[in-house]
Amino acid sequence: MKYHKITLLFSILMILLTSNIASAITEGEVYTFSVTQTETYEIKSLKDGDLGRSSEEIFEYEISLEIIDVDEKENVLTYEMLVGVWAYSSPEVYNDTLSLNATEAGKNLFRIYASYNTKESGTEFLQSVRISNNFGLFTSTDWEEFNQGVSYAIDKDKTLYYGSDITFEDLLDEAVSYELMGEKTVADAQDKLDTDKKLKYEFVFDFSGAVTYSYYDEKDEETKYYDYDVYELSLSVEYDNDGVLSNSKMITKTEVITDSAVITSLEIFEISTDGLSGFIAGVPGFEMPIVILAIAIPLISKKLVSRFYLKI
Amino acid sequence: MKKIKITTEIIFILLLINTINTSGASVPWQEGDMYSYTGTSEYEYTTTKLDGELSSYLREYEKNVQEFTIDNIDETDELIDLEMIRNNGELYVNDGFSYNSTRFGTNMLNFELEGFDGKYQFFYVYLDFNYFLNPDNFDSLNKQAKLSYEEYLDEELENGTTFEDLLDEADSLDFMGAKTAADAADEFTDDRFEWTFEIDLTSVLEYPIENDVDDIKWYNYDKYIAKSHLEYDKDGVLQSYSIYVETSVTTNDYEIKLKLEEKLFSGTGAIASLTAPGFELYSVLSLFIAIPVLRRFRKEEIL
Repeated sequence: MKYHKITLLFSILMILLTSNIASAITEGEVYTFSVTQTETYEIKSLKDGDLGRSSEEIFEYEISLEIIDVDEKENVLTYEMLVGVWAYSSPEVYNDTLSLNATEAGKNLFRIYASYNTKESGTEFLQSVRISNNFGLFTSTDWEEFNQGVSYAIDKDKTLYYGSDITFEDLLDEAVSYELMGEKTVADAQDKLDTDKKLKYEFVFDFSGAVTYSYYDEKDEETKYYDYDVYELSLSVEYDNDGVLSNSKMITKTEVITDSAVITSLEIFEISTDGLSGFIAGVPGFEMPIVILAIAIPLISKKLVSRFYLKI
Repeated sequence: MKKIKITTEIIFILLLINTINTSGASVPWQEGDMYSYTGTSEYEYTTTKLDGELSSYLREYEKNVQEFTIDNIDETDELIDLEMIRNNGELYVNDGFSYNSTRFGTNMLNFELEGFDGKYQFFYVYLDFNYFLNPDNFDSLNKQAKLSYEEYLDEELENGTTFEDLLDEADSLDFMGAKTAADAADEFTDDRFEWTFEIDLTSVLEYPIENDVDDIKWYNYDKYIAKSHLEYDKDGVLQSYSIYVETSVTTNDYEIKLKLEEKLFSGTGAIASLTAPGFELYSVLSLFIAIPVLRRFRKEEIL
């Protein structure tokens, strides 16, 4: 696997509210969210079983957000958020207003991306599948509207990209298995969403064997292709009764065996309101990975970028 | 207005230490010998707004393990080739590491000040892995060495701060137990294989807060402590290396705390344990440092 680069966008902090959330979320209230991302990556040589390379990266942050104003008439929320930036940049309080809409919040809950590529032979192959983490931290307590948005997000005829003719159903056809809201079909999942109840929103996909790993072999001067032996994705999102995100977890797990090595990766992305779990101080004993992590804070012009790369 | 961002670099280096043999003697390590190193880096950054509940907290932890074998030794040119593994799992040879111990001088440990506008925000210790280590040569402390500057301070370099200046200004220091720079110099002896440095620069450095593009206000730190530790065994094998920085500053609006720690140790576990076969038998040992956790503050224009 080539180094993959994950960019965390603070834009997940975009808040989507409907007017009736005003009763639950009031001016002056401060909400704190904890975000933890763990990436592990390990390579073991098949030619010389002793040789390997591994890395683990744990990145976590906690951020508090104060509601400055809830304007029900204009359907606009104003908040403040402190963004601390080390080094020669100052911390600053970020202010913004957000439009509020429950259906949009539901639509943003789930989005899946697939990228395709073409081999020299002309054959098209599935290169990667990712789930978006751009769901809102707040949502309307109008669960009927919210669920309708989610239902739209998983519609089987929905195309994956604007301008693409590949539908969600096309992608599902490639999966070994999947579950949407605990159901085996889109129709059953949509039936379940067709209620006014708040639900636990869960999506699980197994694309093992369907996604292809590739890299350019400099010695043989050709690109080599291997199907992933494991390629699993899942997302679960829960809101509390006030429409505040209480827990979300996204997991991506892969393993591929090439002619020369076993390459495994595991990524876990979690948001919760429970606070950070103390930390795995020291973290002795794990046997994993090499990862590149880039943190972007596009909300502000000043950035904190921490880059890990190998000079070989 | 120059600014700095943090960059973590991972570089692959060979450290060769020859404490007994003279140059040209046959090297005791062999092709096929395997080594492993583990590097960790961790930093924690907390900002709290003084006049409210807003705060932000960020922590990053990284651990990397690399294993390699010696692929070839060229004793004529004193070069060594290492076989390791690429990120795509292919084996490859990273060749041409020199183990010519005479190239190493006294600059392995670098002390660096960084700042702008004639003031300094950071003090940092890092190992310069571009040199190869021979502990025999590591016997002096160059107190007249100019500390590194940002480029735009180069014009001031002639009159710039020396390491000795910094030691004089420090609130306190502890180098291998010595509390003064003069005493510390005596600690750099041929039979020393472990060096520890701790320096308190709380009242020396300042923290800049930008009010707008052209207006910087500098604040005194509440705390600024930097530590470094480097240890070899008596055969000259690196056992561990660490750097540590802890700072705290209170500005008009914020309390800002930072902790940073980076380590490198032999082996693949939490406790340094040599896993290479026959490792302890050699009087001259080669070390490959997979992740020398070199975190530097670099300036960069940020719009």
